[in-house]
Amino acid sequence: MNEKHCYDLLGGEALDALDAEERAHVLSHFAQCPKCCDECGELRHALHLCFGATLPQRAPSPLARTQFLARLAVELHPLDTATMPARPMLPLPPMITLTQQPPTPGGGAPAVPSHLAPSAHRYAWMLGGAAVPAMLVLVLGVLFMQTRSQLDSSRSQQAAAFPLAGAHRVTPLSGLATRQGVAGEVIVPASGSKGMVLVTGLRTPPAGMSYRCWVRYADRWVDSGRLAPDSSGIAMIVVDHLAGGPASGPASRGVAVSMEHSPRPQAPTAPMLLSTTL
Amino acid sequence: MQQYADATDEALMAGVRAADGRAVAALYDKYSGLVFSLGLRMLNDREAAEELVQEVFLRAWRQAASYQPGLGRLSTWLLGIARNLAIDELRRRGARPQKSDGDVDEQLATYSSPQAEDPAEQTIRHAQRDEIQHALAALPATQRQVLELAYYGGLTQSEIAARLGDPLGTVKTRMRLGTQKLRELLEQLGQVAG
Repeated sequence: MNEKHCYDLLGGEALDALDAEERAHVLSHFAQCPKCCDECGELRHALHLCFGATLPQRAPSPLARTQFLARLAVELHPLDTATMPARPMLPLPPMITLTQQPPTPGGGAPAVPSHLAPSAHRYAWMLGGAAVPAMLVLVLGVLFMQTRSQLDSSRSQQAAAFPLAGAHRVTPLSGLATRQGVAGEVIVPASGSKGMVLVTGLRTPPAGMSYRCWVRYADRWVDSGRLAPDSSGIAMIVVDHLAGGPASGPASRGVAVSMEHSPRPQAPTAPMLLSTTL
Repeated sequence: MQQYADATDEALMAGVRAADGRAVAALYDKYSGLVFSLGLRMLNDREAAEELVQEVFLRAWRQAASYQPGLGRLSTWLLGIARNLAIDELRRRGARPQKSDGDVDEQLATYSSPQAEDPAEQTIRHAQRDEIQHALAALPATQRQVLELAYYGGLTQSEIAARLGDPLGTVKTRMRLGTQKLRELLEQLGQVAG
């Protein structure tokens, strides 16, 4: 194939529109002709520039951002077998149990399933509606395993059982910290009483202080736990009784985040950094 | 994320390469609208487009080392990832574009406000977009049609010929002339290297 002939095909290659045989010829030619290869790259760049610039600008939903950050959290903190305790696993809901191997006979750390290994994050991203809930369940499963040594069994099971497989309502958090790049969302499933609070952009708090998540019931703020940002500034917490219902009592009216001195504050003592009404 | 709020693309990608999750989040905030818009245009399905956005930025995170600023803008690199994934999905479906959730514009009304943008940057971006739209409009309609079917529809030249009922050679010629002319027009506008 001479260079001129390949040049005729560059537009088609830049658009991925060549048939298989022509494409094989072009790629073979590229291996010997950097000029054609570069020219194709420039054509492709021009096409993206042109068609990208003329698209009407839209934004994905806030839930998509939350889901992305949850998936990113998994990638940033792949399962670390070295930190996994040797004791037997706690009973887990069926969906999470399926992802875990039983404890090894010798009492050592359970083997990591191959599909959870860091190099194997090749999600079946187009599996329709099932992919996202499954991924979020996986996220919570991993978070659950990573933090279970720090949590009592009751709380762990509640976190793992967080019903993410259904419809959700996402409410953004905003406030004093918004201008510092801190953002957050409250995710409340359509069914069940638990919710999840996810905050991004948090800096490590000063020594002796911690971020606390507060939930407002009637006219009282109730401490719902510590938000511990990871090295990427992302923190999540599962909150019980966020949504109201016959079994869970009155619905919460709001969620907020503050920075507190006390490890077990009874009430907020500092201004709310982020808050929202529910 | 404050340190990345006004970061250049180079600074953002440096942060991404350094495994800084805040940089990835800032990258998402800056370009998710663009990627989503392309996904929606190609897949005609909001849910699939949102899945696409997540996958694009995860791949950008995993493959950050492969981004070379000298070979093109960050936006076009991301669009390239997005388009490849969307074409894979369209070819997996076996027909394209097919699924429609109804009036996409109506569905998106709630989320049609992209992230805040500096007014000066917005003015420049709008001016560039106008120039590029004029360049695209300057193409003969038959050439533009072929390019759009290939770019947004993921169709091959043979498939375009079958769809339009035109000879394959004609489609190839239109595609070749169209891409060349488009590039020349963008060069004149200073949008791509000459």
